[in-house]
Amino acid sequence: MKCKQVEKIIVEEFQSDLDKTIKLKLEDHLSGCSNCMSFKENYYSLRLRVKKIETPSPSEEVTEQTKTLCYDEFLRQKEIILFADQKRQENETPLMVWFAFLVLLGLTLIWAFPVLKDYVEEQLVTKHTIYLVMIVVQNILALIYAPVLFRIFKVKKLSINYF
Amino acid sequence: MPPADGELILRIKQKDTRAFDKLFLRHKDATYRFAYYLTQSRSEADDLFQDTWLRAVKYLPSSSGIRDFKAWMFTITANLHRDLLRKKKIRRMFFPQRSVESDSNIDPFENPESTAVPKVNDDSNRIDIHLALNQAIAQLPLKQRRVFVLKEIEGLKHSEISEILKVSVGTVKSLLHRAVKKLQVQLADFKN
Repeated sequence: MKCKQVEKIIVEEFQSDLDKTIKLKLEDHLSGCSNCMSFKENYYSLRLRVKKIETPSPSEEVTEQTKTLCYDEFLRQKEIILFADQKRQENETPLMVWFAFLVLLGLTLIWAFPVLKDYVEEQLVTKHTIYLVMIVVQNILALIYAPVLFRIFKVKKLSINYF
Repeated sequence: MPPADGELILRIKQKDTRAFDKLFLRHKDATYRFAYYLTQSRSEADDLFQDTWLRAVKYLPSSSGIRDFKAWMFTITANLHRDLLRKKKIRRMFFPQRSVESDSNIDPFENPESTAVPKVNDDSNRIDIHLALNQAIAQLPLKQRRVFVLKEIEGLKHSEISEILKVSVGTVKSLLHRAVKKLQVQLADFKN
């Protein structure tokens, strides 16, 4: 075993977990090498001294300042959560809109059903069938573009409020 | 029995400031100590300490599975210190004169007069071994100092240190060995 290896083993944290053969080799080397023995003794005394060392701690002022800053950060986080909740509530679809949507859906079905029946049974393209196709296309376009229009409207409103 | 760190963290996530007070009180000294040994200056340690706690509070609610809060705080401190050094390096590139002046404000562990490790004087037995030890630690290269402080002062395991500093366990062992060697040479006068 070389001195460098021995020194590294001495600095190793779990001496008790070492392999028996390595332990024997280590003891054998240490009994014959004064340099490594002195390294070991010095390391242990250094560890003892380090444990007793006076270490710095934060001043009262810094402690209080840090605590205050952390509380401010907590408050800021709380405000962000509240703001997000408020925004979520604002963005919720009003009940009236759902009601109107259901009424329109009902009326469309009532009106569309006979027209569709005519078309399927008699292959008849009437004025009502064309209206129905137009309404379907219109609804599809509305479904696609409504969110975009909503967003544009909201951004404009927000920017007006902001400035 | 005092509540464990994990329990306190859960309460902090529910915005319980009293839980934060307890956690702060428990870990403030260790965080400051590490910041101080990294920066070697009171004022920089104060700033690093504040930044570390602020970042911890900011990311605590979104973090999941913090196994060891103390190690997590050390990781934040080490990362922030790395950023600080990077900024200093950039500043030095643009303002060489000013940065040299500001770097000379290093407080070598509460002994502003000298950065050298004091020698034993036969006439006086009043040489403070603790002061000498602090100064010897301060003179270690940063990488070795970080490992030595985390291992011998904070009592962390090699595996924990390797996670904090993002280096392999082998590197940790090697750095520790070199640090111990250097300290032994520097403190040779204090053998007895």
